[in-house]
Amino acid sequence: MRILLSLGAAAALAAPVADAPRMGGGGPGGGPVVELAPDTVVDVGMGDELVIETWRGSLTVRVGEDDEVRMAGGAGVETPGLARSGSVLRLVGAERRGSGDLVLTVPRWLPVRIHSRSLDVEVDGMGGGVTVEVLEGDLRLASVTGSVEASTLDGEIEVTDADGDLRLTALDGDVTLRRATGQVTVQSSDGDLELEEVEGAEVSAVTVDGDVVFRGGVTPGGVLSLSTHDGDVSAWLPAELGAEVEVSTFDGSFQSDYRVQTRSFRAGSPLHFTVGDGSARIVLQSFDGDIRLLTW
Amino acid sequence: MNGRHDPWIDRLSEFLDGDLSPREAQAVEEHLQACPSCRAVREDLEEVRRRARALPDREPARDLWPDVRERLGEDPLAEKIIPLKQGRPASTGRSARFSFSAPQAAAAAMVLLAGGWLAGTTLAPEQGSVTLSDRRPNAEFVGLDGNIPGFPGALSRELASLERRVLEGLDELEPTTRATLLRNLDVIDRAIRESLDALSREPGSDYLRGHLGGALERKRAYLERMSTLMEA
Repeated sequence: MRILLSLGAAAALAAPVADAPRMGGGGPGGGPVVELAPDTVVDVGMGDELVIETWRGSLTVRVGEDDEVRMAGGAGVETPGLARSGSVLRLVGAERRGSGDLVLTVPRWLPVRIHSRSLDVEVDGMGGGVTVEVLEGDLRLASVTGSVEASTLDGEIEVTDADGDLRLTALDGDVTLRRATGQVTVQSSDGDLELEEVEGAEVSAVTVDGDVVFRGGVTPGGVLSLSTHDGDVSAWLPAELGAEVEVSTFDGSFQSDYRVQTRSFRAGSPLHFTVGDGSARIVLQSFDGDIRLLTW
Repeated sequence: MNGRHDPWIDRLSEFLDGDLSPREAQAVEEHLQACPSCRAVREDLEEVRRRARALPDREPARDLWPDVRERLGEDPLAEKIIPLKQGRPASTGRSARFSFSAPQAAAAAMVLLAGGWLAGTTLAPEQGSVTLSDRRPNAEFVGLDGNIPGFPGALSRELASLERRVLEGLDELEPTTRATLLRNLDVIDRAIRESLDALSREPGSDYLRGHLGGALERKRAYLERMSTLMEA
């Protein structure tokens, strides 16, 4: 079954769609709701955006070749509905709260926003911008480009092969980022942060209670900032590094593979020294923990 | 989902090492009497320690200190570098290792650690998780005037307002989610308390002031995010 949803098509959809009964209650924003039986296909165009709210369970978003959204549900999935409000396609569940294991195939360029209280999310191959915010759930993103924002209160985040503006926040869980370039911000309150093969103009990783491990590079003129309150900070960088380095700890040690030379040091102030041409800036902080600046 | 993390378990190793203050040790003992899982962890730790003590001592494969000394000595600005007190051989790789602990730094400047350790002075985590009924916004670190020392009163009021709003919405959350949220607030508040305590001892520390500011900002961002997500 193919349903064409385009701007101005709302009036046509006010009438029941053949063999696709409408769901009661109307869609968020007052638009018509189209029930999505398995293998339902909805055409989308540039400028559209897919929003998934109130879904519980698991959600997989993967890339297809056509400009369409295709839905497939696994065991236990409730039949969701899809409503359009302007350029926004909004997926909703029965009684506006759906649950189950849902798989969506969408075009790579389609921006996707996901908000839920309890949801495990897997996103693979998206390039039009991804926002995922859940209270509880693990988030796994792979081969994503562009603007990527992932946040979970209680869960882990794992992102691999990413390029763009990456903002990852697991408040009570670990964050792992592998093979990434661009602008990177990684945060946690109670969790470890691991960044492997990461290089960007601005890379920041901050946790309160946990270790921070970074292995990668920093571009000339770029900034790498790694910080924790209670934990160790370990950074592996190329031997041919050029950076102004700032190290701060209230109660901890600092270990460096690079030659450390400083003209002055005042208690209570950061330790500053220069490596190579000093073109980049590296900030390493741990209130209570060891700091290591090592070569790989 | 990630596993739960019990702050008491963090204290058990220090408890067995005798590194806790009498008050902290007593708190751990009282908790152990009431907590079977922590007692089990303690028994595991004691077993690990028993086995570790039974292992033979091993000498390092080679003395690493000459490499470290050589690298330090090749610095053309060596005379202008802050003198470092040389210690025993460094324990890992060719790295130079330093220790600077703000409370001692005024007297010690920077000391090449080389196997030593300047004893910590950080505060212990507060006891257990905070229940909703126990929790009062910012009560643990605001001063008598209701403000966070050294920061604008508006910030304290904003944090209290945000926290109150989040706490009021907790009843709608699953118990596990609620516990996670409260535990994270504990983690952030502990960081704030420890930063304040450190700053009271080292009021001139730029790092500590910035660190405290960062912790307060993280709490604000955390509460704002929680408030948004709870409306989802």
